[in-house]
Amino acid sequence: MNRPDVYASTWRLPVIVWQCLFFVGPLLFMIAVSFFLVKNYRMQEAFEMANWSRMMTRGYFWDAYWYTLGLAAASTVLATCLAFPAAYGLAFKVSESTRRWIIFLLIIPFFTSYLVRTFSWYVLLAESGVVNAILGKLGFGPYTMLNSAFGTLVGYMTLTLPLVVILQTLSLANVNRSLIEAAHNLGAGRMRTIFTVIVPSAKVGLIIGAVFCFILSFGDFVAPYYLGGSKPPTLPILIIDTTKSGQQWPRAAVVAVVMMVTLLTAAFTAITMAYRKRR
Amino acid sequence: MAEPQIVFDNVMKRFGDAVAVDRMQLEVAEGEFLAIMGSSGCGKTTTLRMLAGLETPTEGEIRLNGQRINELKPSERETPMVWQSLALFPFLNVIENVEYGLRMRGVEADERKRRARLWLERMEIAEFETRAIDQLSGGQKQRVALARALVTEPPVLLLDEPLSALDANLVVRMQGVLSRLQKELGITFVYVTHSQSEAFAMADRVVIMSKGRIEQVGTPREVYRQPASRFVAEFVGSNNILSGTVNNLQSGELVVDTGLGPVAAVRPDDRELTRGQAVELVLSADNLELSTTEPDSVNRVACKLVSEEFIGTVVTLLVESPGGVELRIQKQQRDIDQVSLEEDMPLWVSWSPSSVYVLPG
Repeated sequence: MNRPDVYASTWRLPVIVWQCLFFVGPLLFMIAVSFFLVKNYRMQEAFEMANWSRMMTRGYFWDAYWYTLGLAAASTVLATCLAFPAAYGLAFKVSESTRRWIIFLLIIPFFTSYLVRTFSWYVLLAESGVVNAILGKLGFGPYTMLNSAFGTLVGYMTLTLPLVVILQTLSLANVNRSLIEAAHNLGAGRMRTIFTVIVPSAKVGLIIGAVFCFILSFGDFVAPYYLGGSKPPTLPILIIDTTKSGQQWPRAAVVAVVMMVTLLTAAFTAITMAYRKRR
Repeated sequence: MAEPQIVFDNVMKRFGDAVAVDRMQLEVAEGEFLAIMGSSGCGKTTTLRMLAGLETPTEGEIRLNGQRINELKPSERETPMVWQSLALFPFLNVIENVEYGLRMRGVEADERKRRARLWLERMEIAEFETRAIDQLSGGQKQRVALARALVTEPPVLLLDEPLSALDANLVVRMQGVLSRLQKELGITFVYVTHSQSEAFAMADRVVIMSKGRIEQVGTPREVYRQPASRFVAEFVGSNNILSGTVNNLQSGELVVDTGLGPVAAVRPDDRELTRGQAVELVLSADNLELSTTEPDSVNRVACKLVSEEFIGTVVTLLVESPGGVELRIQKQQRDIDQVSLEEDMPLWVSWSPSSVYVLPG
C-alpha cells in the first residue's frame, strides 16, 4: 500500500469501526441468540434449532408475517400514490424558491417525536374525536377509526409521507426538461408524458422513496401499537410480546432475523430493478 | 394566392421585461429550407420554440397553412423538433424512440414497428434497432433523432442547432444528409444555427437576427454580397467595413473619401446619394487582390503585412495601410504559395470598383 492509500483509509476507518462495533457485531450476535435456549427464565448459550422450528410452525407467526407484509405493501403503494401529485407539483409547477421553502417545511415534522405525532391522531380519530364530531354535525358516523388497519395506515403515512414527498420531489426536479418537451413535441399530452417519460426518467428516486416507506412501515412499532391497537399483531409487536412472555429473547431474535431477511430481499430487489439498464 | 405555409405576423415575445422576439414579420414557403442565424440570445431559438408551441407569443399571430396556431398545445401540432441535446429518451431503445410519436398517435404496434424500421433503414441505422441510446455514437444518435421526428411524416421539421455537438468532419457529412433528406421529402425545414457555414451550405434562404429583430432575410448569396446593415456585414463572412463621405458623384460612378484615401465604387441605382453624405463601404475579404508590384487598378493601396492565419486551404492575411487602417484579405493557399510572406513586407492591395458594396442606411 502506498502513502495516499494509508491516508485515505485512515479517514475511512472511523465509519468502518463504528459500523462493525454497533451494527455488524450486534447483528451477528442477534443471529447467534436465535439459536440460544431459555431455561428457568434464563438464557443459555447453545446451538439448537428449537426456536426456529417452533416459530416457523406456528400459525400466529405466519399470520403476523403476512399481515405486516400486506400492511407495509399497502403503505408503500398508498404513500407513493399520495406523494406523487404533491411531488409533481413541487418539481414542475412552482418556482425554485417556493420548492426550497416547502422542502424545508416538509422537514419540520421530523423535529417532533414520532410518538407525539402519533398520539395527536388520537384526538382526531377517537370515537369522540374531532373528525367524528365534524362528521356527526353533517349527519354521518360515528366511525371507528382507531384500533384498525386504517389507524395503522394513518400512522404509517405520518411516519413516511414527508420523506417520500421529499425523495420524489428531488428525483422529479432532476428530470431533463427537454425530454418532457420532446414528449409534448411528439404528440404526448400531459398524462401520457407523465407515464411514458417522467416516471421512467425519475424511476430510481421513486423506487428509493418506496423502499424507504416499506422499510419504515414494516419495522414500525408505534403506529400498529397505538393506532392499530395491536390487533392483529404485527411482527414488531410480536417481538415485544415474545420478549415479555417468559424472557423469550431467542424466539424474538428469530422474528427479527426473518424481518431482516425480508427487508434485505425487498430492498435488494427494488434497487436492482431501479438501476436495471436495458441492453 | 394562398398564404405561405408559415407566417409570423407581428409576433412579439417578452420574458418579463426582456424582449426576446420583437415584432417579427416572417413568411416561410412550403418546402423551403430556411435557416435562422444569429449569435446567442438573438431570439432565434425562441422563434423556433414558438413555432413548436413550447413558448406562446406575447403578441401577434403565428399561422400554419392560414390557421392561427397561437393557442394550440405542443402535442396538438405537427411540428416535430430536433433538439440541440437531441433529447432522445434514454430509457427507450433505438426503435422505441423512433416509434414514440406513432405510439402517441395510437398507431398499432405492428404498423408502428414497420414504419419505424423504414425510417431506421432510410437513416442507415437499421442494425442498431435494439441498441440502448447511450451505446450509440454522436452521428448515430443524430440519425435516431431525425428518424424519430420524421416518422410521423410532418409537413414541417424544426431543427435547433442539431449539429453543434458533432466534430467538424461529421458536421459536413450530416449537412449532406440533411440537405438530401429535405429535397427528397419536399417538406419545410426551419433550421436554427449560429454557424454561418451550416446555414449557407444548406439553406434556400437565411434569416439574420439580432436582439430579437430580423436584420435581413435573403438567399445566402444576397446576405453575403449585399448585407442589409452593418450588423449583417460584420456578422457574415470576413468583411472589411470602411466609413467615409461621398466626394464625387457621377452617373454610374461614385468616389468616397475613406481612411484608405479615395475609393471608387459603382453607384448603387436603388437609392439617392448626395455629396458629403456619410456612407459605409463593404470590401469583402475575398474580393481584395494582392501583389508585390504596383497594380494597374483605380483602387490600390500600399500596405504592410501584419499577420497571417492559416485555416486549411484558406489563408487570412491582415495588412495595414499607411493611414493605420487594417484590412483582412482571404486567399486560397495555393494562390500565394509562390510569394514568400514576411512580416512588415510591403504589399499592394487592390480591388475593382464593382466589388465595393455601399451599405444601405
